Amino acid sequence: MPAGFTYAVLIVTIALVAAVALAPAVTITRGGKILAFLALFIFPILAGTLGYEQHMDRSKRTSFCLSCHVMEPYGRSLHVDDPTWLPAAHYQNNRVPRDEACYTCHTDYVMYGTIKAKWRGLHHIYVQYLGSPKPPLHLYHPYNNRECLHCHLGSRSFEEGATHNADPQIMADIKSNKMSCLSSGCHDQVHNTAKLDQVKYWNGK
Amino acid sequence: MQIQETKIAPRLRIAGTLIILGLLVELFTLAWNNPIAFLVFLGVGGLLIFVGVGIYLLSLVSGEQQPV
Repeated sequence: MPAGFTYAVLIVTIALVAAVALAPAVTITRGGKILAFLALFIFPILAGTLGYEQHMDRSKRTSFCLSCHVMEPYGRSLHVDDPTWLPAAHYQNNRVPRDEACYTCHTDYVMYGTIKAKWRGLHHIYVQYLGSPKPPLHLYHPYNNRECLHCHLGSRSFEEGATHNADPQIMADIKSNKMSCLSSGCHDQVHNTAKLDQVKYWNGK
Repeated sequence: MQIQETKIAPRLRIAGTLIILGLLVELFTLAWNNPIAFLVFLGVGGLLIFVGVGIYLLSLVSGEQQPV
C-alpha cells in the first residue's frame, strides 16, 4: 500500500475522531451514531493496520537494516568490486532487489519464515539498545541452501553448472542441504568484513 | 437542533483523545526512520488506540443515551 494512502487515512481518521470528540452530542442521532462508530472504531483499526503494514514493509529495506551502526561493514561489503564476493555480486547485478537486499537472503523461505525473521529483528533491536552487539556477528543457524535455491533452483547456470554436475551426488547433496553452498569451499566469500580494508569498491549505488 | 449532553459524552471525549494521541504517535513513528520506531508504534500508539477503541465500545454497552 502506498505510504501516501496511509498518511491520508491517518489524517482523515484524526479529523473524524476530533469531530466526534469535540461534539459528542451528534451521537444522539442515528447518523451521528454511525459517524461515531466509523470514527472511533472502523477508521482507527484501518489506520492502525495500514501503519503496521508500512512498518513491516520498511523493516525489509536495506537502509533499515544498515541503520544500526554494527551493520555498517555488512553494507560496505555489498559494494566490493569483486565478483567472487557473493553478496556484492548479488547486489550489484540485481540478483536481489537492492532496496531489500538483506531481507531477500536472510529470511527463511518456509511457512512463517517472515514471522521468524521479524521476531529475530525484534531481538536485534533489543541487543542494539539494551545489550552490546559484538562484531563479528554470527548467524543463528548455519546458512541453509534452501534460501539460495529459492531463486537458483531451476535456473540454467545452477542446473547445468559444471561443478554442480561433476558428480550426481553433488547436486543431490546441494539440494538436500548436505553440502553447503557457502561453507563447502565453493561460494565462501560472503560478508568478509575482516578484509574490507584490503579490497576495491564499486562506484555504483 | 438543540445540542444535548449525553451520559456517554465524557467517555467519547476520553476515547477520542486517546485515539487521536495514538494516531499522532503512529504518524510520528511513520516519519521516524529508526529501528525503535516500530516498538513505539506498537507499544505506545497501538496501546493508546486499543484503549481508546475499548473505552468507546464499553461506552456503547454500558452507557445510556439519555440526556443528563
